[in-house]
Amino acid sequence: MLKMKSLSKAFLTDAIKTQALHPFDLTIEQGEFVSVIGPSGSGKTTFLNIAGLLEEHSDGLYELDGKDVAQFTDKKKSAYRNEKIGFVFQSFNLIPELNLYDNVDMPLRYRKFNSEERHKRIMQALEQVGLAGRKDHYPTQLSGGQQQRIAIARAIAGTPSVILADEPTGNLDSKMAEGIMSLLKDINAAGTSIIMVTHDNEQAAQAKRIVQIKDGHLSEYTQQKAIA
Amino acid sequence: MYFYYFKLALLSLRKTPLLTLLMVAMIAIGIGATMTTYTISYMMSKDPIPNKSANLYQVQLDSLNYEFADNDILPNTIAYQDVQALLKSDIPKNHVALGAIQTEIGPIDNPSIERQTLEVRTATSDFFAMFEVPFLHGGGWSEQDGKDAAQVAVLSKETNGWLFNGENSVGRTFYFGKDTYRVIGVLDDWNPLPKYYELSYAAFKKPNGVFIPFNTQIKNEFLTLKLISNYCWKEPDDQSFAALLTSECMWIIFWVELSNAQDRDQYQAFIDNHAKEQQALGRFPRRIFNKLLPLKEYLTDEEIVSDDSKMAVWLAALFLLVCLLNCMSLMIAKFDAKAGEIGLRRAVGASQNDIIKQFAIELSVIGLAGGLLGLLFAKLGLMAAANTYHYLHSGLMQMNSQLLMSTVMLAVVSSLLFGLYPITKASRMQPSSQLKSL
Repeated sequence: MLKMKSLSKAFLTDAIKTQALHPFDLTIEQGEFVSVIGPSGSGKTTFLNIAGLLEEHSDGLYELDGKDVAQFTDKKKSAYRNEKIGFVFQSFNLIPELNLYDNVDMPLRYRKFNSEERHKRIMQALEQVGLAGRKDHYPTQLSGGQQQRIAIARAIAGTPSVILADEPTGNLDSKMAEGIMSLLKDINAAGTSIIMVTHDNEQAAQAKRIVQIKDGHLSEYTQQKAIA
Repeated sequence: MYFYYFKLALLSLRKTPLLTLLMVAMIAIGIGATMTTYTISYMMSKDPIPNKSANLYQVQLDSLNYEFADNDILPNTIAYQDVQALLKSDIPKNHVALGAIQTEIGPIDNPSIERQTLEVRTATSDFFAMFEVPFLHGGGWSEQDGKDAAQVAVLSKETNGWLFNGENSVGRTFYFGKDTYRVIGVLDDWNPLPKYYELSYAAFKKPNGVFIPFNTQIKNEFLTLKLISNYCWKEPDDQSFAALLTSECMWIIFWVELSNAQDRDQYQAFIDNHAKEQQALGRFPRRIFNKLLPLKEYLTDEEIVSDDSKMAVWLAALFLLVCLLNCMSLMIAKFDAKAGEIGLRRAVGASQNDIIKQFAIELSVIGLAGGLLGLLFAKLGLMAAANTYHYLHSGLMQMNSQLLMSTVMLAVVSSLLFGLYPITKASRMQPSSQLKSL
């Protein structure tokens, strides 16, 4: 599903070149749950942004569903993000002036679904995260854990192939974090791939694979070795 | 999708009410100022009688013995003895000799209404047909009435309202100076703008209230010098009215309606022949140089649209530009503040085009609100102008439907035009760099 070969990323500012990610190979199959760990500033978020087509890589090959994304136009990239990728962010990224229903509706609008189809998907997603009854509420009326559930509902409403989660429990207490992890595992169990960036080794250990990024170098470990 | 964008626009505008108000007010003030000055300039310069302006000509004859202004420019008026000759031609579809007098007018049977001094237009009988004057009651005088110098009058709707309380006054009489005149017609609303048949100084004055036959003026020896343009290059033999009529004094405006180019050529030949005949009799000392000045050319030559009004429009447009540039900086600030939302929308699948459409709709809403408020400002500006320049034609200070539409369109289009840069800038933001700012 996701194949990166000799992929690298460098940032150029004036005459200074900063190598954010050194060339690496990585393949993730449909249905996998992959954790990405590493210290702050190691390049985890850059990796996730490239995987999510939010940023372009500098060199190498990135194929999503067998397609070389370097050839994509902005429109095609946007369509791919919309159909195949769901995002979950550390700070939830809900739009405060929209109610929960409309927040979940957002990606479906760009998919050009009719209102009936959108309504069905929104309600299904809200039910899956256990907040269907609060669809008319606004993000500020929810706890952090509930807001992250809404963000997850928004990510899954379009039935994407993969969810990219950037520190999804970073702003939550341990109990809430546990609930979110449980929800992500349920989603993964239903067949959606998950790539999760985290600082938390315990949470990372719940994934089937772990990828470590350190100083821009990406390497893969088996579960037990990685957490050691 | 556009309804969705519209809903988002309203939410966004509600989220930052002060900024929204500032942007709308800035557009509205610029639009209001521009449209106030443009309306006046537009109303001054529009074709007052579009269906036949190409067929109307002012007759100008060079019967002078000196160069008038420069070699090609002639007075707008001609001498009475020439009018007499020109009225005999059957080439024009219509021809009209125009004079103007001032007299006291009042009702006979209603002493509670005080007499007023009014300007009276005197005209030959073709006036009403030639200038397509609409009647509410009755009609104009016949050619015979004109020849007979009948004491009849046509009243404007306003004058009829004042004299006869707006009733059908045809057949009724009123005081006209020391005499009584009979009403034979009452006009419907008729406010040509500019009053193209007048001399340029009166083009934007209020419409005439009373009309009487030209020959009635002549027979009764009415003359109000301040209302006519009188070029007396050769003094009359004496101070009498009869001497004025046989003099070289040029004081009568003369218009003809010529149906086609052939008629025009024929008529040109006719007036040239007249001049030659007169020259043989000792008149027209300098040359045979007579003009049929088309109406539109007359309006341009007489500078009925002054450069001052055009300059005011340019200055107002410059002011609008400054307002829009200010508005543009607010738009940039607004869209910068929405970077997080833009990043999120891009992440969940919005393309650059989707972002452009969303913000274009938002700016259109701002432009529309600015346009509507600007319309109100323009109306207030025109009301203030009408109040200050009350002696001018009220039609100058009124927006027609075309101008109303243009005002709103101008606001929307200029908002979008000046929003182009902020919108494009916003749509090109790197989504990944903005996601953490929501």
